[in-house]
Amino acid sequence: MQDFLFYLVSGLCIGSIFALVAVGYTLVYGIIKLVNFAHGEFYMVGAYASFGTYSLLPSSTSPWLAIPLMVLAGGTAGAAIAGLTERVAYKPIRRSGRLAALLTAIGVSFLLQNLFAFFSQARPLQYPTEPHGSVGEICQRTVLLGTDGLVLIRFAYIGAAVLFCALLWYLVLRTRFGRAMRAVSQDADAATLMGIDVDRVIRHTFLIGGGLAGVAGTLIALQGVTEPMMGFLPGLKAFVAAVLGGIGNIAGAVVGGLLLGVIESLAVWAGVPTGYKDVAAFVILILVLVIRPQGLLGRVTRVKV
Amino acid sequence: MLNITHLSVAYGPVRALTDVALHVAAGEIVTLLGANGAGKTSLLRAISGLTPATRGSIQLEGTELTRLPPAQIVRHGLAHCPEGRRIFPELTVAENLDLGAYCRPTDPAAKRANLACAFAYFPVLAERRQQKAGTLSGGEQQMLALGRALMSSPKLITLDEPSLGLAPRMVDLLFDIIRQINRAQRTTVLLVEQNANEALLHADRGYVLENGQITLSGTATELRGNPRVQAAYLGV
Repeated sequence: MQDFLFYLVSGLCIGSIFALVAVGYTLVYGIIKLVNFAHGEFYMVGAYASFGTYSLLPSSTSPWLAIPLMVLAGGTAGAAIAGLTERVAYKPIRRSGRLAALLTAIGVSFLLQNLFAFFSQARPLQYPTEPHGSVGEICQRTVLLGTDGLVLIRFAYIGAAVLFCALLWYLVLRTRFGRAMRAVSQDADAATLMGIDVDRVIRHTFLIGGGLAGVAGTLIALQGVTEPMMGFLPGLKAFVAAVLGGIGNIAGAVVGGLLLGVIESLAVWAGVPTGYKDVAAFVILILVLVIRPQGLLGRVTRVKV
Repeated sequence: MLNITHLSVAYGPVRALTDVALHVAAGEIVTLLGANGAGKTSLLRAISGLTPATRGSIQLEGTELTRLPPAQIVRHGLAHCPEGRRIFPELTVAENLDLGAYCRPTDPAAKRANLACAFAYFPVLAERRQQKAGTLSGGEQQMLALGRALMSSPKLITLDEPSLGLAPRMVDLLFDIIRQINRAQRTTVLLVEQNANEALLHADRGYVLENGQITLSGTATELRGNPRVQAAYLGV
């Protein structure tokens, strides 16, 4: 039973990361109906920016200052790369159909992975766990939950998810910009007629989504590794989470992300070998598509021909 | 107010409008008649910038609109009620109206006045302000589209088939209100209609558009008496 608690909490932690990434997926999909397969790479770029910031800081910097700075750098870099990708790759082909956009997204994903593999010589980076009290060491500290030690920094995942989802909720539902976002996602032409600069709304949506992915990547890398392919699987899983919750639906992405994390974790608890836990996500994707294609919180939409 | 000269619009190789000239004076209601596919919607979309003009000039109070992005055109005093109403179905009535004033963020007093005005013309919108716009009836949605247009304090409103799919009583009510808006706010109206009878009843002047070209123009009375208009659009 104590074991169960450990896996449940652990699942919620990792689910928070999926939620942060899935929200960006779903925002972009909601605005321009693009499944942005490069979204996982924004996460990876965030982690690299965080590592870069760490290397630049003097070794005497307190980790309690360094970690927030690294998260900030990761988020900023995620936003920047998302903004750049939108400007360079997606904007020019916005009227060329969804298939072109989807293929472009896959292309951007490969491009970023390989660029970072090239420049980092594909060597995974890790924060050194020496000396005591350094960033790397603090991020490896654990707390005993039942019989297993849970890495403390993982609770920050939940904190970050709660904080950023609350901010996003406020932004989307309570601000003028949020209203413009919702208008664009429902009818871009009509939004233009209201005087809304649709290009600007799309650009800012990418910045927000990319920023959240960058933060998520930074947090994961704090106790793991930073490497060029690190965004691939979380990106796919966040996509599953977004579909699970109903793609285009922000609350759905949060619920989907948390649920996916918990299901994966409990699958291991129930005896699925750890190596197979990734399968759980994709089994869920298939089940959702078969049983409830609109997702948990999504609504059925009819496509008019 | 609105002065269009030598306007041509093409969708790739397909010409929608050829050398159109049209003008609307301040305070007028001008109607644009024509069959399906004559180019009426293209003309309104060219004015609001949604469809770029290939040639010619569109001036609103002396400002050239053809070079402006559509989101800027709204700020020069044009409100375009597009075909099919195009309200935001998932937003509430209040949020829809609020977006109508999006282009005038710095003038909360005008926004309050316009909101009061929209609610005065359409009391049903006040009753349903917290309801999602998609749950309104067709007539109420058209009211919302008009109310939303009023929120930007427009000098010129262009209406694309406001009567489409509405019950005759609702059509009467709507045209009545369009006329009141025209008189009370001194708002100029350019009206595209299939319902030529209603349109000519309320308009000061009219144009007939055929295959992308203006073939007739005149006062509403002249057009009503014209045998060609009677045969083609009035069903006399």
